[in-house]
Amino acid sequence: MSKKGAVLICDDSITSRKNLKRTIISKGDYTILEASDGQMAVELYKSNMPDLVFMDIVMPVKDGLLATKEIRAFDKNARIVILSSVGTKENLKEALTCGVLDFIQKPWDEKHIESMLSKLI
Amino acid sequence: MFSQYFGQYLLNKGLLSAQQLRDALEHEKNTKVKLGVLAMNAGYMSAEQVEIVYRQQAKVDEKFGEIAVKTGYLSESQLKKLLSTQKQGHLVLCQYIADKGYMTLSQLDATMKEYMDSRNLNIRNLDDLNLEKLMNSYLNFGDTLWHKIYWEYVSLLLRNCMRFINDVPVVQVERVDETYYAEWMVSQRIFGKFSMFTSFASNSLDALKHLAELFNKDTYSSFDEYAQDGISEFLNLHNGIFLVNISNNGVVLDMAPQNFSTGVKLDELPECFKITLTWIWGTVDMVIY
Repeated sequence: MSKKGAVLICDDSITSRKNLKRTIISKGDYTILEASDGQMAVELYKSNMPDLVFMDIVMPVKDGLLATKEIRAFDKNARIVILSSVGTKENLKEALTCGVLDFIQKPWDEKHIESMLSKLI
Repeated sequence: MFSQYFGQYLLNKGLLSAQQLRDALEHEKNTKVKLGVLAMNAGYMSAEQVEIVYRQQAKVDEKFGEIAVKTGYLSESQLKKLLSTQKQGHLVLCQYIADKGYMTLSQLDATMKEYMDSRNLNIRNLDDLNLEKLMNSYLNFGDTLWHKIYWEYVSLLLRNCMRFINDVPVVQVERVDETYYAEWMVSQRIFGKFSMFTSFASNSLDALKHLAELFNKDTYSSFDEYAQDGISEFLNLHNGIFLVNISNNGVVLDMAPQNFSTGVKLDELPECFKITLTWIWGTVDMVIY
């Protein structure tokens, strides 16, 4: 069976990555890539060109907004969804300026994730 | 929440021990019917609508009733009816305290009157209670300039305990005058217009494990990497919501990634407070400065 697409999950929390991965896999045959900081996400994106990225903001080494800017500079069509607990107007504004697909405030629910995955079809 | 405040008052007065109060609140929690269940039972809301409000409640710092009215699932008068059915929680608490022999009914009656008088409250009008006034009675950070910010931070923590682990702790606030030790700590710095150190810490790895289990809705055989991450995520989520609330008041703040440490010793820090959070299953500290 062919894969439905590749999804990169970038979050420094191991449990957040585990829960999100479990939810995405339950929705279909997706290839999952995982990064625990923004720098790793940029490198994984460049070498794998995934179809969708779920990006946290507050992370060590490189934060999610900076990583988003670098990924979008590399690939202006990159589809990135911010998943963060810091849903301030300032972060939302900055994320939208970076051209993200959506901004989901944690804790996320399955319907949101499903709706983002449906944009891959 | 009224029971929580009144219980806290009894604790501060030395009329109940922390253990007795924990037991009484646990009993009340197990007896109290949630507003969503009452709304379904009254035929005001469907199960699906209640679920939608619960999900929304996990994201925004608002009460069930407030969201249900905003979304049009409940009218103001329906909410009022449901709240008056639910507000008898303090009676369950008083009954338990009397049944256990911790206090006599007449002692309870007198203390309740004294409590209500001292706060200009009216027992017949619990719906209109000024929660801020009530919380001031036990979230006391003394004369620190940070009083208002610490108060906002810790009162939000209590709401988040209800929201994310469905278990509100008994709270004791203490200034850390000398040295604070903890076997394990996760901390996160908030910075911007002002800077604040926030942390969860404990000498009981069992209590930390239990808190992580409740937050992650999972079970762990030990306080392993996943359990540690759970506590860290709870702190991160709480701080994220705090930043959103503060940002809505025009103050822009940011936060750094969390840090783990073991064998922690904090020495003579100015404006440092230990907030002891006691649940029936154990105690975890929140240390802020």
